[in-house]
Amino acid sequence: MAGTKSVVGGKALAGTEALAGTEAVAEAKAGAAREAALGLDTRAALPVRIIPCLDVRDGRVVKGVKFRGLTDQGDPAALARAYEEQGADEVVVLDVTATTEARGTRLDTVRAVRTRLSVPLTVGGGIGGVEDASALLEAGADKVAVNTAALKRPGLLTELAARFGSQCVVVSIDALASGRGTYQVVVRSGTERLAVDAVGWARRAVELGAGEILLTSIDRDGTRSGYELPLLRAVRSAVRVPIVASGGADSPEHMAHAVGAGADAVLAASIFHQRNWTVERVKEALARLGVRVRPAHEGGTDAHPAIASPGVGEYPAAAPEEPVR
Amino acid sequence: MSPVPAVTVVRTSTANLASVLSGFEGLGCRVRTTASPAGVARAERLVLPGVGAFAAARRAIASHGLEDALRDRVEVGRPTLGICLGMQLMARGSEEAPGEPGLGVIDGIVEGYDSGDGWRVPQMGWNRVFPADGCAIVPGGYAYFANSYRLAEAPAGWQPVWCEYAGRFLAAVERGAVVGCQFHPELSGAYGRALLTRWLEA
Repeated sequence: MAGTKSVVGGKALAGTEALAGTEAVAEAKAGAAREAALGLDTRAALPVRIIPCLDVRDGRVVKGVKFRGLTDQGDPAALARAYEEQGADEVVVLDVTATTEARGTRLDTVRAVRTRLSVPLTVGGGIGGVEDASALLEAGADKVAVNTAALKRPGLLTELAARFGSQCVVVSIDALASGRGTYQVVVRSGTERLAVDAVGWARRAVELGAGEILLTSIDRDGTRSGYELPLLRAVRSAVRVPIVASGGADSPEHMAHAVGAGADAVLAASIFHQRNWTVERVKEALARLGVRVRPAHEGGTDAHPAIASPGVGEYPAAAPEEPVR
Repeated sequence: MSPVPAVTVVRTSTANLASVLSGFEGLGCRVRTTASPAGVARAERLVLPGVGAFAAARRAIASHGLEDALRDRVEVGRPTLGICLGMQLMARGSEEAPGEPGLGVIDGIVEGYDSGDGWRVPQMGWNRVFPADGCAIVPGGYAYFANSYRLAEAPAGWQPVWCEYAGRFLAAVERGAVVGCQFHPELSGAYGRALLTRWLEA
């Protein structure tokens, strides 16, 4: 299939074009070699994504421990922008209340974040159907994370993938260790246990259309004791889509361990909100540990004589004559 | 003072517009949307965005009667930017939807990534892109991708921007002021702003 045709082999290419292609291959090989030396899965060929998570309730960022004892952490749009400037690769917004009454507030939050953010935005919490997802995407989300509704009605994942594409559909799985190395799925912000095996659900969700898994360990959430590595390994062996590790991060070492266990991206909240670490410093530390990351600050583009990369905030405020939405 | 650039974004039912609109608004552009052939033909600068399935997006373009207007402006080199599925729609067709013809302005067939060796599909994240020397708009750097399909071979008449994922593939192509990006410049932070700024000046 496609892979057999993917090497262009220089036919009909000018010398410089062939060279640019060679550079791309060399870059990828160098990264893969570094990762292989660490025993990492070299097929996760992209830089590991660092994803600050904003748990939002009533329009404010909050954070608790094991989903309880929520305290105020700030304004979502301002925090999202600050994290992008620090080098965040994506931002996740999870509405941790997401009651019916809160949905209007949630859309306002997403709109506000979108105007300040130019990296991908995943939004989750209380998505009950295709129309909820559509409204969030319309408001500025790039991906939607579904949890409880997909467990109730797995066909929702298929409907979402058919309408928006798998790359847009994240299945959010909250898992609780249930002894002997197995994990069960919990829902409703960690308050309700289901008799569903988390690894089996991950596999099924991908078959149904999920293009990414946001995998949260409830045992680790907010404890800053490290990601639940056996959970990551178990899900990694079951699926081929990207996995975002969540729950328990307190250091770049924890993140490197998660990558070693099969995570393609690492999500964290507490360590960023409480300013123990900036995204930039996390990335520097990860690079020293041999984990490939997108550099936080290299001006955005490779050196090129014809271009001076614009910095954040140098552009005039948007002032469209006619509103488009 | 240079005038405020005007950008028109094609609005089809499958496309998620908010990020694209926000990206151009953040650059100080006047942004409009259109779903009419006249709007496509008239646009000073046109963006064809796209997320979702090839067949659905292709049919949405057809149902609005936009094919000829899109082909015409690309053929004469008027500033046009296809993003992700928007780039794929410019090709002759896609493995994702056999029998569903693309616009055919890029001579190539979009193919799926080979996940046989354990590569994650979709490709989801930041990958480094390498423009050929003849590229004037797309810079080198890290760009954000979210795709399961891509063009693998450089089409005749276009400058290629290369990337590597389960083999070499085309991150972008450009021909004058017409650019197709497999990645999302509107989600690529400072890199993306640099690219869009250059396209607005092309």
